[in-house]
Amino acid sequence: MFAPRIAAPLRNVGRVQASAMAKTAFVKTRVMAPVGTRILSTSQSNQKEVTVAPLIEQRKNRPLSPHMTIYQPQITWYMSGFHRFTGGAVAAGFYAGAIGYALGPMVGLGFDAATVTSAIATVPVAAKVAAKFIVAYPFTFHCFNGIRHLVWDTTRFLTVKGVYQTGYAVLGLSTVSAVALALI
Amino acid sequence: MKAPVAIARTFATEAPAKKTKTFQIYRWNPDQPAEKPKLQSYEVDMNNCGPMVLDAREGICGSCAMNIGGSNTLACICKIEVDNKPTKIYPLPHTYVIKDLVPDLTEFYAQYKSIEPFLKQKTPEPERENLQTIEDRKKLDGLYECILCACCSTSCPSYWWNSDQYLGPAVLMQAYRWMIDSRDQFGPERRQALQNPFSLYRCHTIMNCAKTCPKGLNPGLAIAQIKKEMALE
Repeated sequence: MFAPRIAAPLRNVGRVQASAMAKTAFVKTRVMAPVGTRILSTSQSNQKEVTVAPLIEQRKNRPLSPHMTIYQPQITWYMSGFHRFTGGAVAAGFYAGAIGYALGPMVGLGFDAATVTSAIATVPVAAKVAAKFIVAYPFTFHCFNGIRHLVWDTTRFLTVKGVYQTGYAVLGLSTVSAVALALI
Repeated sequence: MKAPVAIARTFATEAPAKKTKTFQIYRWNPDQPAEKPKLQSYEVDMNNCGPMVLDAREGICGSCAMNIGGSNTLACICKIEVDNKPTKIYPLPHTYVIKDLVPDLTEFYAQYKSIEPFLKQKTPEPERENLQTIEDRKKLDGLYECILCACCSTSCPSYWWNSDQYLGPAVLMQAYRWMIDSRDQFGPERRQALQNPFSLYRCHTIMNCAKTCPKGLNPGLAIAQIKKEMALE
């Protein structure tokens, strides 16, 4: 395992220092880790120790190359971003609705079944369907795309072709089911 | 014609009707750090120019990895699109720029080193070669071809935000390459080293990596296979 690997270089270091012979560059690089070395999170052995202090110093003078703003829009990262966004939106909507419904009457918010029903009854049908679609789509998208991710976790459909096929399938299914929900 | 040598080498061919293509290239000079990075335009005569963005030895070293027309690829195997639209060329995304299109990949290489990309065995060294069946050797296909150009890692939004702790697709695919090598005996330990919230699990299966890999490899699948093995272990 890794434990003996940590011990070995340390023993080397001791021996080298005792005999005042920093012979090989191999040992030297390990001995001379300066203050400010940081260990990468995977690191458990001394070998993985990486000196990033000078790197951080240099970064102060270096620009960070552009990323999100210049990267080509693609099904891959756009659907991933949308999955995160819809997850947040559905959760926020659920919590806001539930908490509002529970606490509304107490603070005189007028958010109860009777008020909401009568308010919605006055809205034109087209607006009702549109509003229902806007609520339904993030929900259906997040559900189907969540299933897509679960399928991926079994390592199936995890090729560029599979990613696109399942991506279009999710977009189609979530749109059709959201329209169906909006028409109920 | 003013073209950077590294981008378009010209050939002495007869030029018929002049056909120019505009390249907009990210420039930043470390000798003038106060000056902001800018896009500089270059007109290149397409009749007097090779077919690739960079004329070199096709995709074997990985040093010409950059962002061309919005996605990461190797300039030497990226065909110049002959149209009227300018082609934009940036350094690999979300990297610290050393100069112009040259990114600092020190951390990337350090991460590669951290996964111990070499054969590790517990049994005494065999007297002769480490033998492997043809079937076991086949498991390495699609993994060993990686040239560590960092196109995939720098296309990955998770890596953009967490490159200090998340290992990224290129390095994780190499971690998997050693895990499934029938001759390596440290699979469980290799997986154990990834058992934390960041090293591996920052992969959210975005799959920009597989989409962009200039060698047609699939780091996202390799990561999913590591996750699956870790879940079943």
